[in-house]
Amino acid sequence: MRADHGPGAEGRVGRPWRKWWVLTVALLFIGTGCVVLGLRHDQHPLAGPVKTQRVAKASGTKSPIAPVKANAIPLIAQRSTPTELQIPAIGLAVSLSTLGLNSDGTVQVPTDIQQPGWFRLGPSPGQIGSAVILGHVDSYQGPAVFFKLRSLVAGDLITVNLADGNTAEFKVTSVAMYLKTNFPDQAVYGSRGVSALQLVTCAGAFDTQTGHYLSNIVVYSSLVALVPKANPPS
Amino acid sequence: MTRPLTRLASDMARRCFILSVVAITAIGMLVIGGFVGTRAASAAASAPAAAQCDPPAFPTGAGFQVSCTVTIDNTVTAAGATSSTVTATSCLAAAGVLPPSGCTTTVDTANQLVTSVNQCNGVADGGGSNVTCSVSVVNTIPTGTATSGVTVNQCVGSGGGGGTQPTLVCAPVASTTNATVTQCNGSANGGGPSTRVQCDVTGAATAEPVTINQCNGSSNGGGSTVTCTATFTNNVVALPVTPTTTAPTAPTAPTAPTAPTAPAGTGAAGATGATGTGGAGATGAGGSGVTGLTGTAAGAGGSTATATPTGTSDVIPSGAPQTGFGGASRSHNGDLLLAGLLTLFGATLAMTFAMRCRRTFTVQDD
Repeated sequence: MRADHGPGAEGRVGRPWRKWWVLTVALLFIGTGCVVLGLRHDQHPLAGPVKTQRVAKASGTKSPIAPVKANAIPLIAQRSTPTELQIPAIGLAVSLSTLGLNSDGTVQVPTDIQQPGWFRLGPSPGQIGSAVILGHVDSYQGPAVFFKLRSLVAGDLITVNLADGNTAEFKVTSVAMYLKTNFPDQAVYGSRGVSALQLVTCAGAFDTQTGHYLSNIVVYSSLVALVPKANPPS
Repeated sequence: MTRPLTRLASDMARRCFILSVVAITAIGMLVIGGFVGTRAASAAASAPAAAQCDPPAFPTGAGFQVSCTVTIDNTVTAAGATSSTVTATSCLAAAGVLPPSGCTTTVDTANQLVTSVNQCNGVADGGGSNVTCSVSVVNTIPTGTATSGVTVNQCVGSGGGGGTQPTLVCAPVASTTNATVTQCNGSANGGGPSTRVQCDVTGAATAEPVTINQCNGSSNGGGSTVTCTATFTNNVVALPVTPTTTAPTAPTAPTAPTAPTAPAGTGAAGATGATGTGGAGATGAGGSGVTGLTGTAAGAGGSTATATPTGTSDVIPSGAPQTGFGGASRSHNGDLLLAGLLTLFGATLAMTFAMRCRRTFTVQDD
């Protein structure tokens, strides 16, 4: 009976198990909520680019005469089909396909979700102008080849192997996300008078009605080195 | 006997309860921090001014090949947002050793427009040196942005000290106060080869005010040359056009798409100002007589015009690429699942304590 617990020690103790029951109910409520939310087959937008900037390592060079790659060549490449894309920052090393235009004037996208494609009607990587490589961010079931593209930041290295054996090295200058309704065609594909490489994929909120994301992420990068193919030992 | 037991059980229960509350709070903070927190955004690098190839980083002595280029990409969106990218390549080597030897390239981005460039001032005055520097300003601006004229102050007080005329090849030779471009003044006065000062400015108007100050007071030793250029380019970006709806027309037989052919490395000749006249004689004729380190500075006074393939950039696809199918955005949230399972485990522990505690008190009551 409750009257048994007077103002003495028993009274102070009361019924301590009640606290545990309250705690149990609270935890059950929270835990169940987390599990339900975690399992919910719903759309959450793919985040935009990481807004972090890194200073290029070379800017910290103390000596005015900086070392260069022994086999570096002038920073203009001959036209050559890119064959492989490497982005060490996200652990990507993948072969490339080629892309053209659809009949409606839009750019083709890769048929293989795990293989990016180079827009072959523009410059090849290393030439003056904007070379563009497009890849999928995901499939119907999960991440695809450019899923981690949005985590790149300024200063990250992008390497493109060309069919002629040379390698073009780019450094990320910026990463931007645009609504598809406001996609900057000219900025992505147009020439700015320098050798640039743009990587493009999807991001943002997913529209279940159209089956497409509402935004694109564009990684802008500039050429920093052209490394010729290694000559075979004579 | 009952009272100490009861107190012991009570203390134990209270401690456990406090520990549980602390643990739950910690887990909750971790979960909330994981979902709400985003990666800290560092402050955007401010780069209103760009500078390179000036002392003390670059030498004032004799027999150097100084080659520096900087490209300023200033961008203003239709919404008024600004950004800039500075791509700077600075090369330092012995006279006659051309880039890419001794080159360092840096790329910096900022959310501000670059407003001034300073480079190649007061360097390599010791004789037998060649200073070749260029600045390219590319303004990407929306339609309707006002532009202002580019004023020039260059090649004043340069090319003196003797030597075969003409020593100056500048377009124009102009003296203007507070000019947009101030370059090649008081340089290459040590005497030496013909056309040892070659400077020009390309682009009559700029959309964003960028002051260029380069190649002043440089390469004043005998047999030295100065070759500097400043280029302004305005890329006007049309505002997005809202597509108009048209009445559907009767379907016609599909025609084969006329896909453009792949470019075969064609394009306009790239480099400007490429009238390489190789004026960098390292003998210091008529000058102070300080010879270059290698004495092989032939051709350093100008680069040869190599018409490099520039690819094509005139094929601009329309619309945005559809490069996703939603699988990743609809996937399960692993972090949330883990947090939920941990919390449910805690609930099980709490329930166990509750049942044991109640049983203890029930026994005591009996």
